[in-house]
Amino acid sequence: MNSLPKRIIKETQRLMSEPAPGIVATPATDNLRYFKVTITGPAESPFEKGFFHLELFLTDEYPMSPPKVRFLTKIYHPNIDKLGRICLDILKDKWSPALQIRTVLLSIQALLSAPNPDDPLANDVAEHWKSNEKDAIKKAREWTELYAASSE
Amino acid sequence: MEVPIETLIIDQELIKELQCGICLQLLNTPRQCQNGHLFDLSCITTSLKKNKQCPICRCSLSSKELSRSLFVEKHIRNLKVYCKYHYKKGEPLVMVPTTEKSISSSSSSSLGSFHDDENWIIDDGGCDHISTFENLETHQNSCEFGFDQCKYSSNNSSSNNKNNNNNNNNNSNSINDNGNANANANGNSSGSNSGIINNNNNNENEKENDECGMIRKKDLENHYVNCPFRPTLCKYCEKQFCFKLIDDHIENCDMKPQTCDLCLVSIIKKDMESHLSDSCPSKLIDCPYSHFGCSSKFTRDNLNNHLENQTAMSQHLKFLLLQQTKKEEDFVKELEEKEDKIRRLEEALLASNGHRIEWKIKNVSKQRSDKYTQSESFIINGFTFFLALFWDGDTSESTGFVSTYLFLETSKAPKGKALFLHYFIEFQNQRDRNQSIQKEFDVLFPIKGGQGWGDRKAIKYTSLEKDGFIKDDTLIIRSDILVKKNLWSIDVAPQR
Repeated sequence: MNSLPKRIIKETQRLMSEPAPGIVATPATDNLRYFKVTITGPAESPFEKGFFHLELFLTDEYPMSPPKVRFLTKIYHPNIDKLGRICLDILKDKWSPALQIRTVLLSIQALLSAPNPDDPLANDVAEHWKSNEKDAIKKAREWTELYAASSE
Repeated sequence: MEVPIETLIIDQELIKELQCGICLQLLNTPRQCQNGHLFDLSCITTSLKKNKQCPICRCSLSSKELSRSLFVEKHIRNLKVYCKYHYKKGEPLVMVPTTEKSISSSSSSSLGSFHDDENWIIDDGGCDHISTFENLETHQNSCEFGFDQCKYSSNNSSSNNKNNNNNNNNNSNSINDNGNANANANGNSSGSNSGIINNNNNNENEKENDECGMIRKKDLENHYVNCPFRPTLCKYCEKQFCFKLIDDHIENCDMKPQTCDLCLVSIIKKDMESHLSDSCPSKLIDCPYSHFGCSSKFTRDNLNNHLENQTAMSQHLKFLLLQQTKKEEDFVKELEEKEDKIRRLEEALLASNGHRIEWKIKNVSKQRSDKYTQSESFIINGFTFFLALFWDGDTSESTGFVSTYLFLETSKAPKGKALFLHYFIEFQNQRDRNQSIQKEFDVLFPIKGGQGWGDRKAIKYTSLEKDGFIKDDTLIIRSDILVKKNLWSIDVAPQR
């Protein structure tokens, strides 16, 4: 814990004191590199009014390597698979050390507003989205009510 | 722990423009990409090893393309900063995130918290000097708000002390301020809605009194005047003590004057005991003759009156006399016991190592006409001896006396041997044993140039006759002979 880089302390301080709207990220008391995250579903999206829990882990290489992020709450989304893994370029090859936890979480929040079925991770969901977007959105909304209703 | 440089900067907004895009710290060695994005040299070098792009604009970038920015360097040098003595360490902050009520109200229990140890707050009594970043170190080195160890308190200060030094100072009033006040003072939470909970570790005052801790340089002179550890002389013994212990010391100082309960004179504490036992005039004492039986008690100043008092004096003499008489009696008795003991020891010695010869001379009147009478011989340790009497002395000089001798038969004496004898010859008084005449000798046999040893004038013949030594014409001579030493003179053994 003593070796925690100043950058991580600084990011954590700012996340706590100036949280981004709809995003709460708190470090675990026993491991300050592990964060519990809650993202509120963006308005006018099928995920509206849902509380989506994620886990975020900063590896020793951070910020030279991206954080590891995963959804814990089940979500019906073409870029998120059933294990919660996220298909997002900045979490992979498009990572830059200038990015931060805050920007990563804002990008994920944006991904909820704008699903991208052309770069799918969950193929069946992406197919559903492309073939019948209305029905897919309906299903996503049902899942949100079913799995993301509680903030706990 | 040192105050972070970022905390010292007065215009906190400027930091955002002058921080490294990677480590988020104030730029130390600024480098920029072609679009002007700033990074610290060490951070961008690491990043370029992985990805040859600017981390912010993603333009193509290599180490060679990095450039300095003289403007940024100058800007940083000229940043207005407080010095580190403007701040002090606050209680660690526990930060709990708060955001839209919809989340926080229902889920706060599941959210964690962030424990911020590095909470620097403005020290009300600290330095308000503003310098440029460039001149910061020069100022700090000479800042009179800096801290020094009090020279009077112990040197082995614990490592904690440096961090707590403000608590020990008299301006620690903000310690108990609530968390919001701390946070506002720190400028960290301006305009935010974060909840900051003061972490109540009430560990101050625990190490109170061990030392003064660190004192601001400007306050040192004043502190030394009032320092609880300043050296202070005891006005009684003139030894040096630290001020906070001087009262305890004075309470017990050996040199402190005390009033004697009896004579009311002021006496130094360490002398009180001898004063009471040797000199206090009001102390009740026993008469010096108490050992002899005087039971009078009086205060010391009345001693002479008592001794000079006629009645008391004759009483004392009587006691002394009684004592003396008793002593004498005891002494005589003891002497008698000792003599008795010596006699018994002598007898015991004789019994083990001695010879008692009893020589009865019958027909004294007839023997006397021969002038000389000799006993039968007896042998002691190989030597043949006999006793002899010259009834009318053995020379003209001893006429009228009986001479008595112990003779050695020299012709039969063993060669190379000698005997050291302790012996006495006794003329037994047959009327009264206590009147017996005893002659005592210590002699080495053989005697050089002679045969025997004795007393030429042992007893007057007339005394022998009339004082009861002769009874029924018989004289009894007794001789106790004790061999004190056997002497051997030996030669080389004869060769075979």
